[in-house]
Amino acid sequence: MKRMVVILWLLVFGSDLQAQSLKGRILSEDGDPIPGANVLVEGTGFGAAADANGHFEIPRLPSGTLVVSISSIGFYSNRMTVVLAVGEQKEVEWTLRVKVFESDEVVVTASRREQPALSVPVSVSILSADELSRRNVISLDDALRSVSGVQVLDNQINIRGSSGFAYNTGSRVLMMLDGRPLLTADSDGIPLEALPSTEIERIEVLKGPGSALYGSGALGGVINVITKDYPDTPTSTVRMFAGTWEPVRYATWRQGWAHGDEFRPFWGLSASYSEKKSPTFGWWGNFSFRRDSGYMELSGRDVFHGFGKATWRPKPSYKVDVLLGLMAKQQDDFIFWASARDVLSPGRVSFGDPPDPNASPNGAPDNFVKQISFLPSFTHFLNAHWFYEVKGRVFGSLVQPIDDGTGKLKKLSEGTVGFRYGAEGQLNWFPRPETRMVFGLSRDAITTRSSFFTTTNGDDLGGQPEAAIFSHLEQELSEDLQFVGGLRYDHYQVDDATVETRLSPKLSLAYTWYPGQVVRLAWGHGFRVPSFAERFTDDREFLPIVRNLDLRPERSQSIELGIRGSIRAAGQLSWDVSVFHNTYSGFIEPRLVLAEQAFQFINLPNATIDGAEIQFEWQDQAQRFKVRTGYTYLDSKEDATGEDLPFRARHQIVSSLDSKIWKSISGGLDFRFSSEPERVESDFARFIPDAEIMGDTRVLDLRISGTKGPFEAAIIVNNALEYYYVERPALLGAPRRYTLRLTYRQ
Amino acid sequence: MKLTCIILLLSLSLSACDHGLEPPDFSGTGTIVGTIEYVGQWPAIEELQDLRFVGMRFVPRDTSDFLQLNLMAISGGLKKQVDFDEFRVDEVTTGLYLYSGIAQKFDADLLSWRPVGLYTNDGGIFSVAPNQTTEIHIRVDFNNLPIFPPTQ
Repeated sequence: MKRMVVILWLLVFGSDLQAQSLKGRILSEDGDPIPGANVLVEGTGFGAAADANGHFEIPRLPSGTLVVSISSIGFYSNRMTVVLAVGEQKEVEWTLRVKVFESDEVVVTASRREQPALSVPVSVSILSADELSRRNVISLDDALRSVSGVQVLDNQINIRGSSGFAYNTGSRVLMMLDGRPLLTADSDGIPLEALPSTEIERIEVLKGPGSALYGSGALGGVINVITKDYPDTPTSTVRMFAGTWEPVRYATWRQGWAHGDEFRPFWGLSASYSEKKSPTFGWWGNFSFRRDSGYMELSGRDVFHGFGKATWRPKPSYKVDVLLGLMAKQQDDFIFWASARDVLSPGRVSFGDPPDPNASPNGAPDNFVKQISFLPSFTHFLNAHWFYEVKGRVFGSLVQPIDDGTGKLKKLSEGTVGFRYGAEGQLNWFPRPETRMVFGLSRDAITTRSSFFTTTNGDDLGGQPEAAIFSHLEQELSEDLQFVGGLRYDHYQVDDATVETRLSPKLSLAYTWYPGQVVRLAWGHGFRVPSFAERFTDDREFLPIVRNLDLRPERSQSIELGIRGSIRAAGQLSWDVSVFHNTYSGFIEPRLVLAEQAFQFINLPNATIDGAEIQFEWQDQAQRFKVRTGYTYLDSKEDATGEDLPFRARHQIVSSLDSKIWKSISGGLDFRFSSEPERVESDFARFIPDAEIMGDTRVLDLRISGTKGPFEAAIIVNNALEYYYVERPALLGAPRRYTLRLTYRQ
Repeated sequence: MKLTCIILLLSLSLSACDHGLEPPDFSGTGTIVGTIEYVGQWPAIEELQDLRFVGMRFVPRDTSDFLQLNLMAISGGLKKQVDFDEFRVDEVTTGLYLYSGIAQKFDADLLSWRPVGLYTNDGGIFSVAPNQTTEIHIRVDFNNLPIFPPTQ
């Protein structure tokens, strides 16, 4: 029997045991070598980078027909088909056409695999590591404020109007770190600060439902933070920044707080080290600390991060990745102001009774927060057509309240402990160069204990196991037409009494009607299961909130037509224009429910959001000047009443400009505008003074930087024109601040 | 092209020069003093959990509007089982008060309040001016309670 298995194995894979190899040279059209050009055998883990003379070699290849992709920054990518006979050692010479202007952007979120951004059949925006560094981005909300179609309402991320404002409870955008979900176990909120800021390769923002690939939470979109790979030479980076909040210009506001007239400092330090220790092992580590005294009373915070990632490839066909992250944060959470005349002081509200002037401010509860993320994965390339990945994830968070009076930590039993953990297996099959398929299974669970929750059983400990099966097909119907389809089935055991299931399909087409010009049509479903906090919160300490065991999942459906492309116009002009029609049902939002004499999360009636988005990017021929602008229009309506959805800005503009000024000195600016929401509705406005006040947001950031050897210095002025605004009710947006940043990279 | 981009961006940026949100004007505060006359049969003591004067700068639609504390002037607790009482509310937001009276909390629930007597002179509307005292009188007849919500 054993011999039969060996014979069978040899029959199937025997040819792959021979020593086929591919070597050659990558040249430009002018015949110059292209150092560092990437040569990858598609659908396998095999590949190589060209050396200084453009030479490469890929040993131990399987025999048969292989599709090889060749790419290098500044050149058009190319794909070649190679037939390797058993034992053949083929030598080739390939050329790449100079592209100069277009970046080699790739995305992974749209299809769970890397693909050129230009050919993705859905709307995706990319924030590069360079952009994040230029803006001194230290948290995700800072980064996303510059993305077209994304609105940040304090700590709530809103993609194309999918979210209103619900105090970061139940995010309608799924956040992932290296493809693994990272929402808090209690409220499904986005941990905006749980990021290895200096080791981010890029942030991808998928605009539109992503549940067919990623399940619950991807109702309005997906944010995927991709961490860096390892450099060939060891790299150390040390970064320090320090700055100050400028006192607000109005004496009325300053007088409300004892420190209102002072410049309030903030500073931070981060260090990272990365290296490719050997061809089979690489790692990076990063830690950072920052302290911010805050521009409002009781709004300060101390944040510590530690992140590490390691990759081990014992054989070319095996890969093991492990990412570990730790975060500890002590913060005053400024929730609402005292009034529009006293915006720097937190409010004092005695709910339901006349306000007690001696009550401690409950508009700013203090918390100590710890988070841990552990993300291992294993990839095995079976042959040229098959590979599979197994990914694990553990994300834990602990929230411990701090006593306002004594400043000491309260008992853990008065806070929240939650873990989200699970695993998924993904099988990738590339039967032909024009066909790619993905099949997968995932299993996750949530365990949360909170003094604020009472589950169906009356216990304060809850679990929410979930399982899913998904598949994804990409088919090139012709040279110019690509079809993508996906289907996912999710099963949620909310508690002993409730099970939720959901089938999420998606279909899309991408048509290249002219080289570099792609038209796309995408349709998909999204859904979100209510979070623990929304279903089970039962508490009367700050507000009377009662649980709602009848809460149903939210659902969305989206259809989008878009065109993306680029032309030469005194440089390179790229654009992306799209129109979309999104429908939502069962939106979950907190409302005052008279029958319960309290607030409760409830499902709201259906809503429709129609809109359009236009993005342009232009870079001059010498690559010294780059400008980017995006405009988003939203028309959001409740179906039953025809009223606008609350807290959605109808018009949004984001713009940025970067220019080399002189030698190694560069400068830039970022501007963002969002119009006053057409409707502001909040039950909080009933008892929080002036919470109905909203307005336009118009913020200009300026930056200038210079480099000398391994050193870089930058000065950044945020909100340079000192424009005052509120991002969400009863919270003044960040005023003007100045930052000096020094970086050493070797 | 470069110049067009710069001009466009500068134009956009200059739209932020007006500084946006600013502190609203403060029109000062006033004082409300009042007298209350009680007639009729007082409710049972367990239904008299609280009793206060409430002046509203709006006409309530239902009991949920009792949460609009920003738009209300509320006195301290009033005496119970008396024929006559007085109240005073200082630092009251100025402006028109459209619906005011004596409110009784009859149960422990948050919204278990009901009006038992309304200010009815001048159509039930009075005004509070900066640094001025407004005097009002309210008659409470426990045998003939006001209809709530009010018919507009």
